[in-house]
Amino acid sequence: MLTLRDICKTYGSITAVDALSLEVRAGEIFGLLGPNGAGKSTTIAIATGLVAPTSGVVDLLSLGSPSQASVRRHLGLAPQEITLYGELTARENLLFFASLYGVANAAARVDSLLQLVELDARAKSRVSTFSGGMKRRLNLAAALVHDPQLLLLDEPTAGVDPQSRNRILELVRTLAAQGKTIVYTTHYMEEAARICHRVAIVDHGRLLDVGTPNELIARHGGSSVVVVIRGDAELRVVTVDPAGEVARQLSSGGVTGIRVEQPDLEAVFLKLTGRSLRE
Amino acid sequence: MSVQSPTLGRCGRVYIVFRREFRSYFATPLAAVFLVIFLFLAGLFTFNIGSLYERGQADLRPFFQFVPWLFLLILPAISMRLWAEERRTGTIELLVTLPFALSDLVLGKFFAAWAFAVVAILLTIPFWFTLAWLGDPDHGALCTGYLATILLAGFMLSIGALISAWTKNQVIAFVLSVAVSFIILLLGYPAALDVVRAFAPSGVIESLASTSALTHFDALMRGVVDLRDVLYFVLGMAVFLWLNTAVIDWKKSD
Repeated sequence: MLTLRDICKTYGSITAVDALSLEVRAGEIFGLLGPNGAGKSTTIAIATGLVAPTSGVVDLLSLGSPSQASVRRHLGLAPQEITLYGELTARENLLFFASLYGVANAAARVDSLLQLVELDARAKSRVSTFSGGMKRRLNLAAALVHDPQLLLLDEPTAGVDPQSRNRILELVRTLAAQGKTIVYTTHYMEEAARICHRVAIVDHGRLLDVGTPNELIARHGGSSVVVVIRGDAELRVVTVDPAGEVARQLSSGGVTGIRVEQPDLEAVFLKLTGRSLRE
Repeated sequence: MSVQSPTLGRCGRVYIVFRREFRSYFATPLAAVFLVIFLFLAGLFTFNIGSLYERGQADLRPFFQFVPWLFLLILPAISMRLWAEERRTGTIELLVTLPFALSDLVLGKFFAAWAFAVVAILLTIPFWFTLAWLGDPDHGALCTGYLATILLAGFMLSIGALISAWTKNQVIAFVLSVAVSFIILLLGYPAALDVVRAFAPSGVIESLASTSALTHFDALMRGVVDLRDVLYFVLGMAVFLWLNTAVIDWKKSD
């Protein structure tokens, strides 16, 4: 679906993307995970044709580079910043973008999208009156207006409340279920673990590893910790076989509580980069 | 299944951008305030400072003489937001990734700004009616005067649009547009040319004067439609809009 091969992007002496190669498969939610300044947004900008790579090849749907307008027609972008007109209503915003794309039966398409992002009740309200979460959802609808095959979502939950975040994540899952391919950048590892089929971890513009969240955790997450509570005493047992350890502890008796702390993507990231995702 | 229709052509896209942009002027009371200020100043310059009644001549020379200098402050206020606002709000990021030529956006936005200026200019038509009521004006000369005014507005807006594409800051866009437009007007102002005449050969003076919008505006204002004067404005707009497109393309990832 989307191929980035040996992409480099330099700004003077600064290397924003360093020999990055990725293959996003059709129908998957592909997470691009990294801290601020890791090169995620530059990678997205290269994938949309907004930024030309210093070297390397970008290919979308085997049609060529998204620097060509005819190729860009197949992708939808929801940038990190809200790209809506505050003085227009939600419906007018979507109609504007639908008209530019030449969407057939634009009014019906816009109405269905407003329903999808649960903003149909506020269709005639000016966007300037919307909350951050509502703007984010409408931003997503604007990216969908021409029914693209590939959707690039650059930190779509940045600055929204937990309720709106959940709605957006559910929406992304719904879109994937409808057959859309989604590239999802975030620095919230729990979001990536929750919705992404595969995740690429990038830092300093380089790809550190790529795989399903479970594969990455298995490769880099290290051991699990079984926490055993006996009365007031708490014992932490580091193990690569948490199920076996739980069984052993329970069979030894006197256990008043037990829990397993499993490694997560945060642990993977710490292992790979030596720093936290939100640094 | 694609929901896209292949039928929308370039003109269609330019019109869609034009319509959104033109409507945005009227989304706030700012448009009304702008029009009122323009009409007030145009009336003040024409009837009071320009002494239209006292002159005893049925023409709008005071209006046409003052309007370039009025434009100098009014038009940059329109053009400063054309691209600077898109940059500030981030909407430019989405616009430049849409699958069509940037020049469609440039033309749509420019035509909207020009149309707004034309609305303001046409609101001074009652000045013409006043003349026709009081005397027997040369309607042909008045027609070319208004044509010159509309062309000058487009020319100055194309300069402002180019500068707006350069910066995120509307204040900087305004100040630079005023400065550049002032220089382009000043080159055709006799008093300014007299200063240069003291040390420059006459060929240089003529060249400088011919590059000024004011020289070509004055020629049209006198009622003589010379194709070269019209071409000056049309080609000038085309060049500035082409540069505008190039700047947007160059700075699109900023």
